[in-house]
Amino acid sequence: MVDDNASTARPFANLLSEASSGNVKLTMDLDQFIYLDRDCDTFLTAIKQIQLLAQNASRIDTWGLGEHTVSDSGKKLTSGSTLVNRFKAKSQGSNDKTDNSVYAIMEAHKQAVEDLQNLYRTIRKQITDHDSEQAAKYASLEKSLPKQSAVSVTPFTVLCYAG
Amino acid sequence: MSRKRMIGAGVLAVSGVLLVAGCNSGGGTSKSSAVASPTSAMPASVPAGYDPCTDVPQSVLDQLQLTMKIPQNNSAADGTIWRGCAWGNPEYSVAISITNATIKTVRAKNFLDPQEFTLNGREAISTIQDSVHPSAQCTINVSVKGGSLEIFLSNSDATDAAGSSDSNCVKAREVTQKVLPTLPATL
Repeated sequence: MVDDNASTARPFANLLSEASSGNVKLTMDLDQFIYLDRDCDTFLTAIKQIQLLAQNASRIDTWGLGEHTVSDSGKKLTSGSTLVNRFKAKSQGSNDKTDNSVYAIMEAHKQAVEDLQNLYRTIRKQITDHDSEQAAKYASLEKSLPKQSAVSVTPFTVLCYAG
Repeated sequence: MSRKRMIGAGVLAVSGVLLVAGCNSGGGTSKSSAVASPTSAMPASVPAGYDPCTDVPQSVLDQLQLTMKIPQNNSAADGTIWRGCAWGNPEYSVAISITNATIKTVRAKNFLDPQEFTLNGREAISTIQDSVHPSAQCTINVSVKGGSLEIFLSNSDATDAAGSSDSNCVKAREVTQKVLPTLPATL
């Protein structure tokens, strides 16, 4: 899922620039733009939560899996620390562009969602920037539309990290 | 005479084992004979009287636009326990918990960039505890009886630009200052 492309291009860069030039037309009710925007916000919130969990796994230092164990003769149980480091690396690592960690994959998802959100916002602005009636309608819809729950985001379980 | 001395040593050895077992009882079932965990006594449970999951008022959550509550009940093998919840918004996620970790034990872990200050008359410390993404989080501990209130803020949008961890700590402090007045005076 993580793009191995060495460039830092955003996932939807081309589509975004076409949209800001007014070359992307989309027929949609204004309220749909609002719901989509809110759904993207919900998705981003979930991503931030998962990244918090990934960071949490890293900052808890003692896992109780033998990573601090030293035998009577002074030998370290290296498999213990190796195991813990492998688990921690699954959570997050030093290179978000190439890691196969939760944090890195969430970063890639986050960029895609942000781009999608921006894409719809740009398309919507093409409408409301050029039509003051639609702009007014959009502003009032934004205030009045009920905060319906987004596409159902299944609650994810919190891992019990250690102990 | 030598027999007396040996009995004395036996008693010492037994109590030493009990002490180590006590420290590990909060965490895993480590049976190693020499575990390098801090033996300074960690209270066996978190301070009672405040449950962030139910006691952080909705008005505070609304002000910070925090939604999507998930439980945060964690324990580490060194006996540290956290009880609380995490919320998020499109910008950041924050875990608010009560922990038996004290300012002293946090200080002793030598995390990055420790800053000590006072909030509402309580001792507080901010640290960067995750060394993998140091500019993407900040932790604040505020002293309460028997432990601390911990605010752990995660913000992956913060870049590695200079001062970005400062801005995470500023945000974490904003959250802390909204939550702190809701603590009972007994804590």
